[in-house]
Amino acid sequence: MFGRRSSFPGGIRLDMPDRVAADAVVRQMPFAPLLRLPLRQHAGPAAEAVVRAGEEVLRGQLLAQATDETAVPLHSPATGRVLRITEQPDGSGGTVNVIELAPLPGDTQEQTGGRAFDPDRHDADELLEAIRETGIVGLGGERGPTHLRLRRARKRAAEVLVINGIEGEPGFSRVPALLARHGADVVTGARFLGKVLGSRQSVLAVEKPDAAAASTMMAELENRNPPALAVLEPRYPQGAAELLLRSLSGRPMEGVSAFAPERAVVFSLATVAEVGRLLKHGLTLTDQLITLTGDGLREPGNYRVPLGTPVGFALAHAGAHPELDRVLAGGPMRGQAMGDLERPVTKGATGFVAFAAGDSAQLPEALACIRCGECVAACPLQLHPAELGLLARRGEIQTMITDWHLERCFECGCCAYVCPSHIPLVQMFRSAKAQWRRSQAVADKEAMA
Amino acid sequence: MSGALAAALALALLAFVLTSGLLLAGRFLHVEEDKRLEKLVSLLPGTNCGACGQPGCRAFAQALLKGEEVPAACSVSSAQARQRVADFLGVAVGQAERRVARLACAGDRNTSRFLANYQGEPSCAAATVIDDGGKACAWGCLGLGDCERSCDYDAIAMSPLGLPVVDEDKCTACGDCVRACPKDLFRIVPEQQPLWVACNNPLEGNQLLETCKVACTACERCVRDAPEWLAMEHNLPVPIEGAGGMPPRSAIDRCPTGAIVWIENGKSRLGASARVPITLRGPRETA
Repeated sequence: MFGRRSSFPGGIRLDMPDRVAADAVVRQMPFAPLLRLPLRQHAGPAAEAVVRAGEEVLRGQLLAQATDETAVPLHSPATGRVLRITEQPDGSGGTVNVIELAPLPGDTQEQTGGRAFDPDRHDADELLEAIRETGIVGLGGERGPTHLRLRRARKRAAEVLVINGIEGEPGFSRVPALLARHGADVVTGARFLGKVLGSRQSVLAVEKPDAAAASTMMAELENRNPPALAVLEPRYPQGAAELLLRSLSGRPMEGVSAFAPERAVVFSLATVAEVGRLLKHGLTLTDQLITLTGDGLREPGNYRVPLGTPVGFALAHAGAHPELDRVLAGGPMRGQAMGDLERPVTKGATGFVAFAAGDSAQLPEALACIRCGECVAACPLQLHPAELGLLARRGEIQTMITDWHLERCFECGCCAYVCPSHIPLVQMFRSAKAQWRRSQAVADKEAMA
Repeated sequence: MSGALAAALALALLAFVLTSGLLLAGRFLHVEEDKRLEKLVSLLPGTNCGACGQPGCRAFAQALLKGEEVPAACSVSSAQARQRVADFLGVAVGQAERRVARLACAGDRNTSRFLANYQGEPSCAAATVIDDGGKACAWGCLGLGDCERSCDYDAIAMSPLGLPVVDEDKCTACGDCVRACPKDLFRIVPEQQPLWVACNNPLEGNQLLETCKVACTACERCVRDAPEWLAMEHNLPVPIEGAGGMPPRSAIDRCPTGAIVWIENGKSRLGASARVPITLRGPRETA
């Protein structure tokens, strides 16, 4: 009589085209003449350079070491010469050291493998350290060091490893590419992570458009004990870990007994695949699988891009229109407009959207809120975006935080997407959060004085 | 005895006890309040701006009555108003260093490069979170006027080239602009302090000039010319607090970019070697 209760409230159903064969293709991006490598590409304190200007480095060689337990090292994406190490703005008012590297032209750029690992022969602590040594962070866009997430999950005895194969953004095609090209790595990665966590259960969650690719992968790897498969109705923003767990809870999954969200830990498909690929061959994280898309590109698609590649170079290689109007770092829903195309591709980048000049050039004018409630219905966290928007207009940031839980908002963009008055709600929230952090910092400073 | 009578007596007794309690409390717990306080509060501006350092006008009035503050410390009120307060209290107006807000950036649209054209919410706070606002200098003024809107005294106006200009006569040093600017570019400084570095870029070197022609490149010439008044901090010269006497005017003369200026009587002047014009306030005059 009653259907299964909807997994999480709100969200939106986006019109997504069916997957095509081209979505599974990954092309290799050539090396840009200059790679820029900020020493903080993870959430946490910056790494410390161990190379000097003028030094020649090999692809995969350690460039900067982690300064403490919460940081990860950085490795050279190319064989080449370190030109200089300079201080540059870090995008949040401070500065960060940046290594500028010129890849050696004509070099084979082969990465010699280091110590290979095996989930059956190495113990959990060895593997945890090995994962950290690869320099890997959450590759679904979250950028938190993977070893930290593993350590926290181990502490709370997480039993189920959830592999997040939900495409985070409309128009992106990282999931079909990873499933088609890195299926074996995903299975290996899941075994490495499972060994560290001490859990035997894993589940791969994908949305309907990717169900066929996932089944094919499972069938091919049947003899290698692949994770259970959960196919979900597509709905944005199901890729957010918290919401994904809510979608999964209460549904039967083969090989997973009694799934409970609080006993699960989520890793993105890209992270799991990279852990598998890197550890198996003793490699380090030197490139990033990203989607380049948008009407400003002649050859949109998936690219494996060396870290430090300027975004402008990557777009040009994908056939960028000479006069791009706007480039978003990230996807169309959560991406942010870029102010400088010289910024490098860093760890955790998921993709870029390039718009040619044209219709998209005109931002619709924001009209007054008519209190239709569309945003309230769309918010997956059941916040009240309309009220928050009105408070933001009046500058009542304190009230937004204390009474309306602004800090819970993870800026999925559903509210702004459905708003018939085109109110830039997400931007207002981002700015309010930034102002709040600033006022807190000032208050802390005054309290210290 | 009927119930009604008992009730009436009980109430009467209760009323008597409570009344005497109140009377006694009024007699023994009496706090002597200065009769002048209310009048004094009415003489103050009543904006509770906090520029005097007290939490509000009433707290300032109490401090005045105790003799802890002088009337001149209220930088917001006019000279006549301060005189009225002083007359009312029978004290001298006193001396308080007049302070004003100054902007640590001179990168307007002529001198500083923008990489992208920001089109979102017209506010600096909103622009800052989008890739630093698209200005080549991540620390520079975005020119969208959050400070102008925050100023209750009409002391800030945006110049046609997109920099806020502070009218130092109207500025009351209340600090609203300091809080409004997401790039932390405003400082409250003594009006009499003549040396001012109009740059907030913590990097050094001549390559900065590619982003902004009036950036401080941290060459330190001014610090060497006025070592008692200036010190380097985060690649920027900072006036030393409490340095007595007048710094030499020549301190600004060797500045290659004009990032350091000499402000006197509200007019800013550039050093002799500065090649690029900058406007802090009013018409430019080259020394």
